[in-house]
Amino acid sequence: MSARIEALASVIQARLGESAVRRAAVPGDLSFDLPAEGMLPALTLLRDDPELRFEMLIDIAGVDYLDYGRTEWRTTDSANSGFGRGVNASGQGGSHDGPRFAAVYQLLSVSRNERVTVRVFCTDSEEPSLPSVVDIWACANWFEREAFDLFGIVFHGHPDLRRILTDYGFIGHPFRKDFPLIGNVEVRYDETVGRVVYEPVQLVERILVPRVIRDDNRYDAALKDS
Amino acid sequence: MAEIRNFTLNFGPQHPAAHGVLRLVLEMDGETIQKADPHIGLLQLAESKPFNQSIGYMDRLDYVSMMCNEHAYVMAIEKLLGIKVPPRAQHIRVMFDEITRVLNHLMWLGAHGLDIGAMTVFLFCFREREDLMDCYEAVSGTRMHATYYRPGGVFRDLPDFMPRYEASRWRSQKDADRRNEARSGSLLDFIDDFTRRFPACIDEYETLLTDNRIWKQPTVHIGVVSPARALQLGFTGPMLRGSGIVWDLRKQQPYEVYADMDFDIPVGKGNSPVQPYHSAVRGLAACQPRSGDGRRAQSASAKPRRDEGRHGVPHPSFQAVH
Repeated sequence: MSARIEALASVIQARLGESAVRRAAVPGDLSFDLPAEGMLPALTLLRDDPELRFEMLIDIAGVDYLDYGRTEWRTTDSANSGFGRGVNASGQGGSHDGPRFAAVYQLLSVSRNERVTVRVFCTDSEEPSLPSVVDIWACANWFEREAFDLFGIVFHGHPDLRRILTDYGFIGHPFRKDFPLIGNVEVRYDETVGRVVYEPVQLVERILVPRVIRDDNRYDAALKDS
Repeated sequence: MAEIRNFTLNFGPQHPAAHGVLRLVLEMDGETIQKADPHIGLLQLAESKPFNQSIGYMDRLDYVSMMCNEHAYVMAIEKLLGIKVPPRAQHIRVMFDEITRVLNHLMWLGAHGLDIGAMTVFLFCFREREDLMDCYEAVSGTRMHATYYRPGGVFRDLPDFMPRYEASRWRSQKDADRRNEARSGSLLDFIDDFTRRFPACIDEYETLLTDNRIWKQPTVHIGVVSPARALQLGFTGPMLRGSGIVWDLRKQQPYEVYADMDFDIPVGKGNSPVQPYHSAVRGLAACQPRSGDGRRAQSASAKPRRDEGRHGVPHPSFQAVH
């Protein structure tokens, strides 16, 4: 298995040259970083090269590295203070260096029974954009619309880049780490106006105190009887 | 001269034929769809929760392949954490994957028949779905959103008994007894019995559809997808096989214990759009028990056997549910 992965890795490395950087992955997986410029010829090569032939694009996932490496699930401290999640936008910054947004392409070769993952960073973190791969794999159409909707990554050359999941007139990109879980607006039907109205969200932050006792006297050797 | 304009139709999510999974805004010219604008719901809550609190959402991504979605999710967690799953749990999962797969096929087959004008096939399919839903209920307590798979295995071992019918004002004791006959043993006995009954049910579906010209008229030679186009559009499963490409993840990249299983994958011969139907129905037909296991002669209503699988040896019916 791993010999096969290594063989595939060396073929891809030889075809794409030094611009492709191999990433650490769980055993059995193969993953590369590609630069945004020149990614279209590289991906076309992955599809068409007789030794690669990744004919199928399984998925495109956007990634926001804003809070990368920062956990919001530290219950050791919150046993005293409680914690609330998802209400306040986080965006406090994590341990990730480099551009904030990336798109991850999952490729499959049906004829050779291989998979590879390709990650491409958007060089501009303020207005993230990437070239569209719709001309290489037609199914990228909806995937890119989804990444655009949820992360705000603009795919240049996309034939019809509109929101796909959120409502008409929605503001913001919900999967960005600085977007609050409960959203910014809430919707209700107003009897007096006779239509659906949007209002700022009214939810109050719920503070949870985990019911876990971590330092229990019963297990403290110093306090133990006898 | 009257001006003829296309008709814009809102289809779903409450439309009975959209089954709650999506909304389409369709621009129609008579019965021909000119343009479709999809609206798809999504849950984004998983992001702020620990991994094992999101399993229940996976059921709801697609409510006809509940446990398969759970499976993909828990396998991803297992892969990240390097967890090895005990063989018994792997067999249970594969068995319920296949039950889910049959559930899924019955859902589309029945609903598709209904959408296209065939009422009976829907009733027949849901009759068998009811039995499989009972299997879900037996292991997890719920009929759809099971949350049965967990990282590292399943929620609990297979139960010794099946939920049973009770006599009521609407159901006589005799009727309840008849329905409970297959439910008098363990879950595995029930599944074993189901795999014996099911091939005859498939014959019933085929009688209703396969050569039915009302059904063939709106399907045969309509929506043909070439193999190259199928790859471009990212087809998988029976859709891809319907285009004539040999590909099944259970064979090509077997996960869990699929590598040890003996089953056949039907592949479509060419570009006909009814090929997905044929490949899926033949996939259903592959559900019957392996020949030569010597157990077929036993009557389905034989006395319930004790569940031999409970002590580590997989019950023969594990292999039966392909």
